[in-house]
Order: sequence, then structure tokens, then C-alpha cells
Amino acid sequence: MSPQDFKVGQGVTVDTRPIPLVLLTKSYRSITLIAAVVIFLLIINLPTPEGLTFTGQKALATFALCLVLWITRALPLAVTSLLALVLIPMLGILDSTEAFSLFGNQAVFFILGAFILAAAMMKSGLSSHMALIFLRRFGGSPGRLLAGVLLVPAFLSFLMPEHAVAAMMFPIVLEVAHGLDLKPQKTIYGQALFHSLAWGAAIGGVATYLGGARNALAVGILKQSTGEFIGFFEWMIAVLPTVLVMLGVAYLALRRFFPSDVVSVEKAVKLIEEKNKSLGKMNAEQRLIGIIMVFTVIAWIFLGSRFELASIAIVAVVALFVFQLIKWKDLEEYVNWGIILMYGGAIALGFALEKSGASSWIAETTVTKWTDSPFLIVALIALVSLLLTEGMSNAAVVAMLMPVGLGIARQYGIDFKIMVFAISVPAGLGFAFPIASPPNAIAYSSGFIKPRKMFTIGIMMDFVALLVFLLMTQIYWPLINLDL
Amino acid sequence: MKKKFLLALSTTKYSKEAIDYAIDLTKQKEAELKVVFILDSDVPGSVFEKLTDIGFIGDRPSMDLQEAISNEYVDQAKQVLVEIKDQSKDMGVECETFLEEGDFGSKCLESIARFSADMIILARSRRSFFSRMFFGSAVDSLLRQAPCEIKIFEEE
Repeated sequence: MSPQDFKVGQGVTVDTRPIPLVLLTKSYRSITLIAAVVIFLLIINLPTPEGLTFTGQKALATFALCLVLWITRALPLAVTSLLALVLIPMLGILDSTEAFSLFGNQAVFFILGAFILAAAMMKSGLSSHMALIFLRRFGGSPGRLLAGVLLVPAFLSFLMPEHAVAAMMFPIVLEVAHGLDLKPQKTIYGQALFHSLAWGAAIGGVATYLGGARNALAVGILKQSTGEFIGFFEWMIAVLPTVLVMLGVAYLALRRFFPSDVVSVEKAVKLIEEKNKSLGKMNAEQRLIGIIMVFTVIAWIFLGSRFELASIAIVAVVALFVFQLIKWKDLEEYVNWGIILMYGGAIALGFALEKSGASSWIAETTVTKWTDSPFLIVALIALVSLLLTEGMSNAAVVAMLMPVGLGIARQYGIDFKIMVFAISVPAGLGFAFPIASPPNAIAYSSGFIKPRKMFTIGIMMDFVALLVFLLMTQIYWPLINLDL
Repeated sequence: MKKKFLLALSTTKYSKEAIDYAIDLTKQKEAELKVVFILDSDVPGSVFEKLTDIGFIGDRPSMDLQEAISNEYVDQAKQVLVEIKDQSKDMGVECETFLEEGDFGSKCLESIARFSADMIILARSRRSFFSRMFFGSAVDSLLRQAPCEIKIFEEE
């Protein structure tokens, strides 16, 4: 066929892969859905194993179904959780009143409140203002600017969701890169800046309940299943040293693996100054939101045990409306309400597994047979959480591992709180793939990051994170009465 | 009649070697060079999806981000095209540049036909054989369908 004979504009692309592969790819979603249902029916219809009740078996089948759907994302995460919530009463695992009441769990309302506060910070421009004010303090040299792009998102992720921080700071870092004439993938410093943004947001996101909603989800499942609770301050005290060490490690890794190929960052500093000036001084609205945020965090730290964290969050949200700092329409644009469905369903499923005895049964029949060392168990759980988060949503990782983890903790007499940390902290520390976390995906989309480099250095960071976490369990946690 | 060479690049498929080769060859053969940069709309789309589904972030920040990413891709593409044009001019090579958006394979085929290209020069990202087999490759697909000679460079 000559070029002239070739017809254009037909919009047809011929898939030249082997036919079985093409069919497999095209029917992947249907196969996944069918497989999930088959696994569900198979578990329900198997003879009930010794040590497990039939109710537990049904809870296990529901869990397996959700597991497949959460991992493959054949359905949106929130819809899978919704399915769990419906199946639990339908199968008689819990009565419907009890199952649906779990939707009103305080962790769900805390997360909702935290997202609304973050929405107010973003909508008003307070978050960008804060980012530029802090970033201005750095600069001066390539190393200092890099530290700024690592530490500013980390600090902001103490206060708002890490992915919101990464999304908000992305255009700022992009402008800095352009200001320095950095070319995508070609300049090492450009790669360093975007890795820095992703790592900073991800590491900072494990420090509080606000950075990663998965932390609040884990504590929500803990409270619902065991009655125990981890306060806002208690969480920070336990996790902050890991975060600080990891930020130090991240900075050293950035300097070591991305040696600066720019001499001066004067242009970037100037650009940040100009951007800061163009925003002007903080307006009354931004100041008021900042004040509400500060008081809310203080209340979570000092009054969290007296009043529920969720109540404090909701009072703060009401204050935003009282002072007319945010409109309902803004919430609809900035908050994804699917989170309520996802977390409400996950908490209900966790509770159903615990109450039916299924989580203890899983613990008895799996991990217990491999080792009797609590430390090895915690190390294994942390490793599994870290590896899973590289390929799936970290909220889904927490929803999956928490019920099993609590069963294992009970079996070994491990403090439930330690199990919460062992699951939710590594779940936020995936560095190797763009899909490991939203900050990674955002940074990767800049075009500045080489996937191969992200993987090789990311894997190393993953294992350093695991090591740091395990060292903390042995060295630091005994000092704060978290004995393993 | 002058021969026509087509250099196809995209957001995720770029090679300096391919650019140099295309310009040198065009000069040697006293041909015409058409350069098409295809904007990869899949990446911002998948980030958007990830943020709304997995990240549970609202539509507004996700869309703002998607717009920022798309604008960045346009800027990057324009910069590459200007650099190629300058390089060609310095070498005394006749060169026309185009910016397109869509599927890489389809856009290449369209461009081959549109310019009646005698050869297409392109870059492809380094991926394993298994990755190409399982997830497909726009370049492999193009190899089978292109009605002209193809020269492929592995991305640096």
C-alpha cells in the first residue's frame, strides 16, 4: 500500500497483540467481577472450618469479595464499601440497625470535618499563601531550596490531606522549575524538585490524622472493634520521630542520588518573592480560617479525650459557616463525598469480621503457624502494608489489613495500638511507583521524573522507611509505653 | 520530487538522538522534515481519576491540577518544537512543526498519510518485552500498520 492509498481519519487502531491477550485485557473487568462473585460463593458454600462459625464464614466471604474489588478496582472503592454495608445485614452477619449505625462512626465525621477544613484552606488561598511564605524562608542555594520543597509540603500535610497539598503545590514547583529553565527529565535538579514534593507530602501525611485519612480510618476500626482509641496528640508523639528521621533520610537521598546540576537558584527565589508579593498580605478571611484551624488543632490535642475528635471537627466546620468563610457550593466542589461511603463501609466490615470471630480465625490459621515472635509479626505486617500500598489505594490497604491485624494482635497479646501503627504508617510510605500514592502520581505527571529512577530510588526508600519504623518500635516506643 | 521525512515525538516518547538523526538525514537527502509532537492526554486523565477515586479529592482541585498538567505538556511540547526548528534552521534544513493531541499510533498514521511521508522517525520508551506484550505498544502497532519505512530510537 502506498502512502497515498492509506486512508486517514477512520479512527481505527488495530491491536496487534496475541488474540488471547487482547481478549483478556478487554474482558478484564468482567472476569474480575465474576471471579469476585465466584470466590464469595465458594467461601460461603464450603464446609465451615473448625474454629469458625457460619456467621464468621459469611463475614469472611464478604471480606474476600471486597478484597478482590478493592485490589482490582473493578468497582469504585466507595461502591465496594457500600456493597459490604449492604451484604453484612443481608447475610445476617449483623442486624441492619447495627450495620447501618456504623456509618455514623465518629472517624467518618472526623474525616469529613478535616476535609471541609482543608477545603476552606484551599478555597481561600490560605494553603498557597502558607506554602509561599514558608518556601520564601528557604532558597538561597540549590540545597536549601530543595529542603524547602521537601519540608513545606511535609509540614502542610500535618494540617491537610497529603494529596491536596501535592495538588496545591504542584503549580508552584512547576513555576520554580520553569524559573530555573529546568528541562523535563534532562535536568537532575528538576527530577529532585518533583521527587522532593512527592516525598515531602507523603512522609508528612503520616504524622497526624489530617495528612492521611487512612490514619483516622485505622483508629476508627480500632475503636469500633476493640473500644480502644489513639488520641490526636498520642498519634503524633508516636509517629513524629519516624517522620522526622524519614525527612532527614529523604533529604540525604535527594542530595546523594540527584546531585545538583544548577549553580544558582536566584531566579527561583525571585519568582517566589514575586508570587508572594502578588498575593499580597493575608486577607481577613484567610486569617480567620487560619485562627479556626489553629484552635481546632489545639482542641484536638488538649480536649480530644474529653470531647470526641469528630465533635471538635464539626464545631470547627460550623464556625466556618458562622463566619461565612465558606459556602456549601464550595464544599461540593472541594470535598469528595465518596469518602464517607468508603470509610463507613470499611469500618462496618472491620467490625463484622471482629464480632463474628472471623478476624481471629484468620490470625490463628495463618500467621500464628509461621512464627511466635511478636516483633517478626509486626515486621511482617508492616512489610505487607508497604508492599500492598505500592499497588493499591492506601485506604484500601488499611481497610484490608486492620481486621486481620487486630485478630493477630489479640492472638499474640500485641498492643492493638502498635498494630494500628504497623499498618497505617507503612501504608503511607510507598515511594517506588506513580500509583503508590496520589502525591507520587502528581509529581510523576510533571514529566520531570524518570520512571526507572523513581522505581530504583523508591524501592530503596521503601526499605529504609520500613527499617526506620522497626527501629522506632525497638528504641523509641518503649519510652512512650508502647512495648512490643 | 523531494522526499518527506516525519519525526514523531510525544510527551512520553522523546529522544535527542532521533531528533539529530532526523535533521541529519533530511539534510543528507535534501528532503523536507515534518515534525509532529503528540500531546499525551492519558497521563493527566489518569492522575485526575486517581485523585477523585483513590485520593477522594474534590472535582475542583482535581480539575485545576489536570489543567496545570495539560498546560505544562503544551509548554514542554512547544519548547521542544522551537528547539528543533532552531536546530534545523542552523543546519539549513527545511522543517515544519505541528502540535497534535490524541493517541500516538493513530496520530502517527494520520500524519504519514497527511504528509505523504516516505519515512517516520520516532522514539519509544524503554520497556521490557513482557510489558510490551501484555500492555501493548503504540510503536509495535505502528510497525505493523505504517505504510512507510520506520526508524525507531530507544529513549535515553
